[in-house]
Amino acid sequence: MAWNLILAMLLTASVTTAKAGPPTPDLATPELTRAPVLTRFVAAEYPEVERAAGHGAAVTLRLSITAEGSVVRAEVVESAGTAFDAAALAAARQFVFEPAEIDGVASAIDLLYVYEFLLRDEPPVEPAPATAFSGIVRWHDSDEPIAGVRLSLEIQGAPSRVATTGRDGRFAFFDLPSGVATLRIAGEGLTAVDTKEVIELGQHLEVSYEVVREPANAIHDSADDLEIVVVAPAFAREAVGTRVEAEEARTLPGTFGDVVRIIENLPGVARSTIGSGQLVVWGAAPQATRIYVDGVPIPRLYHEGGLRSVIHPALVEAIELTPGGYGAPFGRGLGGLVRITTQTPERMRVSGRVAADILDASAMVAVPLGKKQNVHITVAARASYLDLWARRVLGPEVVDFVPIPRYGDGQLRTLWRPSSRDRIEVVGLAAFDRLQRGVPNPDPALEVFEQRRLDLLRLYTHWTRTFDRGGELDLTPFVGYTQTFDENRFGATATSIANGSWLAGLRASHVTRPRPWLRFDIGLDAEVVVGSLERIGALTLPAREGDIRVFGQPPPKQIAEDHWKVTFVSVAPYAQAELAPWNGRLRVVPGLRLDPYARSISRRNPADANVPSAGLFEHDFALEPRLAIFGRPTERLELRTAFGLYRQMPAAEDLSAAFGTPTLPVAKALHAVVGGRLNVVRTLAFEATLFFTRSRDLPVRSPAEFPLRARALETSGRGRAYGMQLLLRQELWQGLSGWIAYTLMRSERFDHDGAPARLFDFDQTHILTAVLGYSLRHGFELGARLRYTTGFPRTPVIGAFFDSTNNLDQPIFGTQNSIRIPDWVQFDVRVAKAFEIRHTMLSLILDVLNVWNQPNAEEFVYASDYSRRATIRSFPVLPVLGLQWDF
Amino acid sequence: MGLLKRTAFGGWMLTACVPDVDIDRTRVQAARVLALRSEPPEARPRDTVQLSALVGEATGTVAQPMLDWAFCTSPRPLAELGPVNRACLESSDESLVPIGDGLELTTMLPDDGCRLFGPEPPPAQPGEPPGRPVDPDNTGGYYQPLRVLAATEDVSLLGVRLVCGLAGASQQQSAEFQRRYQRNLSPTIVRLERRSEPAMDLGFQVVHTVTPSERLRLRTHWQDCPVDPICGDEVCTLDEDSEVCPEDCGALVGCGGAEAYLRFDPGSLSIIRQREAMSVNWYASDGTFGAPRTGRGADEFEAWSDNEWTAPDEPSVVTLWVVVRDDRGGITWATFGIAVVDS
Repeated sequence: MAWNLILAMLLTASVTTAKAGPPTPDLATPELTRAPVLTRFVAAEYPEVERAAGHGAAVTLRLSITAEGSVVRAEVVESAGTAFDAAALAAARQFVFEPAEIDGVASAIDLLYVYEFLLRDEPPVEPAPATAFSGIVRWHDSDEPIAGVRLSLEIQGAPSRVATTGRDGRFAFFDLPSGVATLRIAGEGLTAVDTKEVIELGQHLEVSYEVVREPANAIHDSADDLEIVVVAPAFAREAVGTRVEAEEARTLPGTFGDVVRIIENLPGVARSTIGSGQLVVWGAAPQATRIYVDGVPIPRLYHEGGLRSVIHPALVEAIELTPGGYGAPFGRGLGGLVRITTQTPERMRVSGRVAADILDASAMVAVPLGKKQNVHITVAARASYLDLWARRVLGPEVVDFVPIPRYGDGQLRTLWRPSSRDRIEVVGLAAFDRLQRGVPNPDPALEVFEQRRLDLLRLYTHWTRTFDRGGELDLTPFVGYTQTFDENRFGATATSIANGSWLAGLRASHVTRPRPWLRFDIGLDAEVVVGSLERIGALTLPAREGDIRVFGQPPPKQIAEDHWKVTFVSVAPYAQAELAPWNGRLRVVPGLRLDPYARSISRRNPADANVPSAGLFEHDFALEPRLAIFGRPTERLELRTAFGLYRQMPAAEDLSAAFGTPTLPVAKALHAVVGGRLNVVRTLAFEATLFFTRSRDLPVRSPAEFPLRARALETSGRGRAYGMQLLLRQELWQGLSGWIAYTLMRSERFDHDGAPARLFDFDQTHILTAVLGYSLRHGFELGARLRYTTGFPRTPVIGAFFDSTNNLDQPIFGTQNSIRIPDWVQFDVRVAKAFEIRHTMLSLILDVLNVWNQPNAEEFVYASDYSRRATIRSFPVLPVLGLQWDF
Repeated sequence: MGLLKRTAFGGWMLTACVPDVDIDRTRVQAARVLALRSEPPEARPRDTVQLSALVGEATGTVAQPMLDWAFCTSPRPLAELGPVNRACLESSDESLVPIGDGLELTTMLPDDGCRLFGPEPPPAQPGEPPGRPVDPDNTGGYYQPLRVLAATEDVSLLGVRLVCGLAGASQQQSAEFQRRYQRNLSPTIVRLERRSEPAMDLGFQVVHTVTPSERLRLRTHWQDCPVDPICGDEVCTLDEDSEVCPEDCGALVGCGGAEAYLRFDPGSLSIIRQREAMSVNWYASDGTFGAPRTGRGADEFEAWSDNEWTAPDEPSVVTLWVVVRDDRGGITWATFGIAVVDS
């Protein structure tokens, strides 16, 4: 019995670009119970004429396969020219398949096959020896095998493969090359899953997958359009780090749907003061943690007020935090590393999202273009209106007193896949912030005014080309502009700092895998920053880490002024290898980063005697070795250690001849990490990490009574942080995900040689975070978060004196950082309900912060004569209702 | 939404976040220094100045307070965010130079004030270039710190404004500045007025009568200083001198209010003209003021400032002190007596 059933198998394109979905069983027709599986692939000969002309092509063939699996007929459906057609036909006729089954019987079948000819500079690679990858797919809740599950396998540099599970739930791939394979498991009634497997040459990899049932109310779109995708953690090359997929972060409370904010809940991250948006990782200064979006540095993660991130949440793919010990591809920071991966939606139709809550409204639209729909354009924007309704409801007198930020951001993205190996994205990011408040007073000398502005622009191109055997070339050239302006006025004493910086750079990475156990990553990390700064006011405002002061303390009235320009050039080549002998039971990742810096600083303007009359030019060079070692004594246990040297250029703000020191050297740090990960079950893992960091040449204020000119800062600062972090993480399992993270830490600073250690201003001894998200039936989602942290250290006020000239009581301080703000504990919940409306999804989301109405302390505040101390409380119970419409 | 609801909602947000920790500093219940003054308020090193204090307590002004006066000779390090070196706050330290005790005394300013606290290069360490001079304040001023220690061990601080040279200015600018600059003159309280119909001048040191809980609307007047020099207005202001306008500048130079003055702007490297801001501190031995401080900014031309005082509930005799400051270190005060009696 022969049935002419046509399947579209786009073997060289990704799943999401397939032209048709999986077969839908028709009760009136026989059922395909097993799709054919290509077991013998024959590479076509590239036509020399076409190669010489630099042409590539794709030929669509219709193949008739017998019940025994051989190709009996091949014909061209979409021609790419005579030479390409002939070569593709010749190769395809030699293919061998595991035959298809219809109603459980091996049957003849017709299918479409796209053979793509890719022009490569290097000679074609011979197919690897026979390698098998097989397994079984079961329901997670019942362990029953699932028939008809479609498995799409992608290995870099190799044609895609597709297999369908039989009635026994089994599938198999043969003749695979080695490399990291991405496998998508999709099918009717189950949640699509992408996972990665390492295929070793000559090895037979046998796996078992447990999949969860798709929620009953999920939108039943084409399988190629499935949105609910959970990607397993990437192959880790960092000894410690946490990666959270956007889809998981979205369901967790406290983020208000802004998935980037999930980073506050990761292990090693201190809870920063509300509204500050500061990211304190492993006791490092906020500015020591580098933030990258697709490899492009951005100066801050959050908008003013810390309510939202500067990246549109609908376009975030994943957030990854590496608190220390990271590899050679990254540098220029003494602290942690935050990497945000964004994505351009690749739907086959116009899609998008509109969302609104009390803070802001956002919209995103993605449009596919091109005959092959290989171009995707996405536009996203978000704008806050909290200030508008607050002004209307509360009145301008309250809004002027309470700082309410105004912010917005947007993205314009274009994705083009010129071939199956190339992926080019052009992305424009923009964000702005405005914050202004004034506190009136009957005495103008006591009036306080504050404003902050930020304009951020980034434009970059991200080109990825994949090669055979897991090779990859990644190029990201970028340009950007950042403008900040901060102004504070205490009476007639005004302080302002403006910084406008142009940024240009390139991140390039070439990954090769010459042997299954060997991987090389050679790259370049180049940045040029040209900044123009202007500062007026007291040296002591803004405050620095280590300043002894109280919240809201008026600055001294002494003022200075400087306008200066700074140019940083840093072109850092790096190399990183990965050796994985003994079937990957041991992995050694050594890396080396060459770190040359050059910078120029203009003279003080207006000029002053005895400060550099001409601009400075300085350069510096150092090697930054990095090493990570992973050992896997058992299948469930992995031990890890890492070591690295890191450096960070001084901030442009510190290089003023009037307010800082133009000759500040590069600060240095050492990271050492040791830990392990135990996979309790497949989706539940426990991680423990011990860490130690040491930093030196940190800029601190000069303690001298008579400092030299242009030496307001010294580099005598040193620091150390040490502790441990524990993480018990449940990855998505039956709709349940979350983690419990605990960090025990101590971070100290030594301001000068011989000075005793003091607590770092952002030290938090205990940081405990438990987050849980659970997807119920009928579109309900529940989430909960519990956070407990030790309060930041503060310097006590032990007395006061009357300053008659400034007409103020002034504080007398005790031992620096010898008391702490009270501990902080908060419980948050999130409830969401999704409604399906004409193949779109409307979600109603309620986030409730501080359900217990815990009177948490954010900061100490003192009476004007410092005779009484109280705490500024954090938000009381705060419900935030939001709507989100996905189409 | 009505005002009440808006206020309630806004109040909920605010009170949830910011506690009310402030205390009524206008109420003088124990002996404390309310003001310190140097006369003249601006002087060169080695000039003689008269120092005095206003000390109040629940029963009125303290006539013979035990105050220990000392110059501080330690500059403020850049790492110090307070107004002075912490050593200046000690009861005794090698950086403190005692100059006497009592309510008032006359002394000579140290001769190295402009080097330690002013624009002149400070003493250099052997083998090193001169250090960084002190930055001027936003009025262009530099201050010689004085520590005042009370018998209660309470510390107060006075900065005597120094007349020094200009940092970063050309010779021509320095000469012009020296020629045109008028030293600060302490403000003068012209009268304290009870705001009623008609307004009543309370006069000085006279006891007035109010009923318990009565609210007094008070207005302090200081000398009204002309914005621009007008010869013949009986006030010798900026850009007037005995040669240009001998009729105004015969005896007293300056004005006892918000004076116009010159400042060298380090940003534009030019001499600019500014006007003083005025602050008024209100103190009382009993009762409450509407605001502890009031004042006028540099861009406000009214020569008065209002406040409201609510008499205590019980009959008593209350002392009111009004302290007026300009932002160049000038200070003056006046004392009033109020009798609270049942009607």
